[in-house]
Amino acid sequence: MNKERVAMVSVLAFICIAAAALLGYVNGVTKDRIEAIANDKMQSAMEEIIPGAVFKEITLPDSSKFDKAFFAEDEAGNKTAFCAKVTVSGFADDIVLIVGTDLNGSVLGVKITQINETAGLGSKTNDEAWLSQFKGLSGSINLKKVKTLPTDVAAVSGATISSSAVTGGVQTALDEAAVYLGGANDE
Amino acid sequence: MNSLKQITDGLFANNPVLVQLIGMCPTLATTTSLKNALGMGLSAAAVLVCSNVVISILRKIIPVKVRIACYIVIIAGFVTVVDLLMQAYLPELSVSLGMYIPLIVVNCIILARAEAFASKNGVIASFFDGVGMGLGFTFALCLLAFFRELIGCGTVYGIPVFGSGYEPVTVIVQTPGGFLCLGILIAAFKVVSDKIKGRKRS
Repeated sequence: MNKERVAMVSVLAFICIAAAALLGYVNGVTKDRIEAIANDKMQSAMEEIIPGAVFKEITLPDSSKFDKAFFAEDEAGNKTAFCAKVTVSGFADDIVLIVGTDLNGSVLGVKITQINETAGLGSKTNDEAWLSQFKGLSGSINLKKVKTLPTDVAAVSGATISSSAVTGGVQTALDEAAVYLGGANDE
Repeated sequence: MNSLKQITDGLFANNPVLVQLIGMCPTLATTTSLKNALGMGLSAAAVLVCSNVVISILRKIIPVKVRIACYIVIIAGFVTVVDLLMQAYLPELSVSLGMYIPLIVVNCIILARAEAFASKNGVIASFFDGVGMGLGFTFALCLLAFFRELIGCGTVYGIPVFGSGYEPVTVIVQTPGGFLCLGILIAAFKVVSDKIKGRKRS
């Protein structure tokens, strides 16, 4: 009886240790690559929104809703635009957005770097055409079923949760960007 | 049982999805596009082959009372390896499969084969069982995804085939459409396999 118990514990412990060793090894091999891919994606998204700029990261307070924020600078080191990485919860999983604004706090462009929404519905929020609705907007954005005012954004039909998650992310970016842009935002 | 027979067994006669009706959750969830289905099928197959081999090697030293715990640790280990490798080397696929990869751990096909086959058979037989069942799973997923993507998005592997005039039937890529398509597919598969069996007998 005792022998059986020892065997039970030791075999399970042995398997766990072997699995942990294997995972540690694979994690070590892949960690840098995974991080580099995420950074590359963010970098290329920012460059698409604000071409030809140099991005300087801003140190954020703990209370910040941003994951990361950058000032875009031209070659002479003048600030030309603002860029933030925001994570919001969508319908299925987190959605990671890159939002670029000009120095007056209106949207230059929105890119999604991570999305896991339902194919054919929520995934449509990642369409270039849909995201381009945000361009030029500032202050508060209204998500509507049908776009009636120039400040409205039309939701993807059948994907209200994904649409409002993305819109909420852009709104957060605009609201908080105002703090870094010195309150130049015309609410 | 020879290895070829084992592989065709997993693909057709005992197809895990279409005949055994196991692994329904990943089947319905990832068959919204052919690309996802292929990725899910092959990653589950890779985990299945690895876990079958390791469990078969260890079958004599794993105590009966803690066997399920041992299987789960082995399977979860391989799943995490696949997940990390995919994130590092196939980032696009990893984005679209995202949350389903960790769920391979509780994919009942893998645990079922560990319990029903690998724990009772030799390493080589277990390897081919894993290949057969894995390919069967991939085959069923791809078949289902092909129809769902075609009808629901009007594309095949992301390439539009119907031209711009086609209005996609979005319900097909949603959950209810998944059940509908799966039901029709299982029925069709049953009709075809019965016909083949009938022909063999006569």
